Amino acid sequence: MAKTILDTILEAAAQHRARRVIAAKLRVGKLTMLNPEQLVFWVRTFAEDSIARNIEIEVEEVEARVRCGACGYEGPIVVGEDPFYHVMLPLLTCPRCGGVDTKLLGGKELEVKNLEIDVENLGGGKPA
Amino acid sequence: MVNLHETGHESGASCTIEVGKDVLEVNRRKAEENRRIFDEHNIRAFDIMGSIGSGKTTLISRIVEKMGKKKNVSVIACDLTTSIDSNRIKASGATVIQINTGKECYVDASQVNKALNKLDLGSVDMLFIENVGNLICPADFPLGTEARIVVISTTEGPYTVVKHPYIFQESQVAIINKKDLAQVMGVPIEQLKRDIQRINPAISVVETNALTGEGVTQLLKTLNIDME
Repeated sequence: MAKTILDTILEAAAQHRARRVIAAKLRVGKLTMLNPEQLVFWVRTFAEDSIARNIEIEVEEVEARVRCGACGYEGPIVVGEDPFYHVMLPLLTCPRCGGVDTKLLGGKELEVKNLEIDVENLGGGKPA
Repeated sequence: MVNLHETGHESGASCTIEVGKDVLEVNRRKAEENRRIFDEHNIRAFDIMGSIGSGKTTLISRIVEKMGKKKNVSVIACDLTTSIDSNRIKASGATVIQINTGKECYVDASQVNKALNKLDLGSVDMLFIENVGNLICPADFPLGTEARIVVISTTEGPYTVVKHPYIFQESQVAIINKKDLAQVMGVPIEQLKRDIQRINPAISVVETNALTGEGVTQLLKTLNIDME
């Protein structure tokens, strides 16, 4: 996953003829079950031999949201706690009516939102 | 939208560029391309995911045997380095293409797409893709199949489902294999079923004993696979 993210960053940077990638902002949905710290660590590790060396990464975590086909509820999901197992289970049933006809609106994002890059000098000194 | 600001360098400037690129979009698009290929050639394709040693290969072999000469079944077997699984399935009579995923812990839509080039698609009726033994990574990488199936077995203990909820949310069918060993293992199958249905109320659950073939007919019925 970290490699794929870095590839996406480098591809976007190349499209803008970046000399260096200084920072990146990622949007990571909570249902991707990715650990932001681990992700940042590995992206930076893989980036060491690239123009994204020493990149600063900011992660925006996105909450999971559903829309219920039965009662029209639109909002966050419930994360159920099971008293027997002491686990946190993300439940996709409607938090209001318990219906199973739900559509996931968000929470699975894995997106490179923006990049701060150093571009090649466009010529003629500092920009106006 | 581009913000320009000076960095104090003598040449060049730094700026912020909006990218908005979904990292998994590439795989999703490739999966859609695979889906179009399957539809075009009337191929019923299934992604068989599951834990290590859960019985994926044995189940696929049983299905291939049951189909016999009635349908042309092909299998794409994915494994890190060996061809152990594909050799076993070949023995049942299916055409098998091997993908070696190396250190990647899942197979992606692009690898499947390349493997499709090795098949005579016009003659294939059904395709099973045996994913890498892993209950975590494959969940994020759809392959373009009509359904995703996840296989677990009673010998993994009672907590396999609650520890890996995401793959069950991505699947349409869950198989609890080695049902004959549930008692010896002290694993209540009904509890596993309840765990699965709580995580994904829309999923169908089938219990099997892949060694004897028990439950395979039920599985084919659940997948709407016509035996005629």
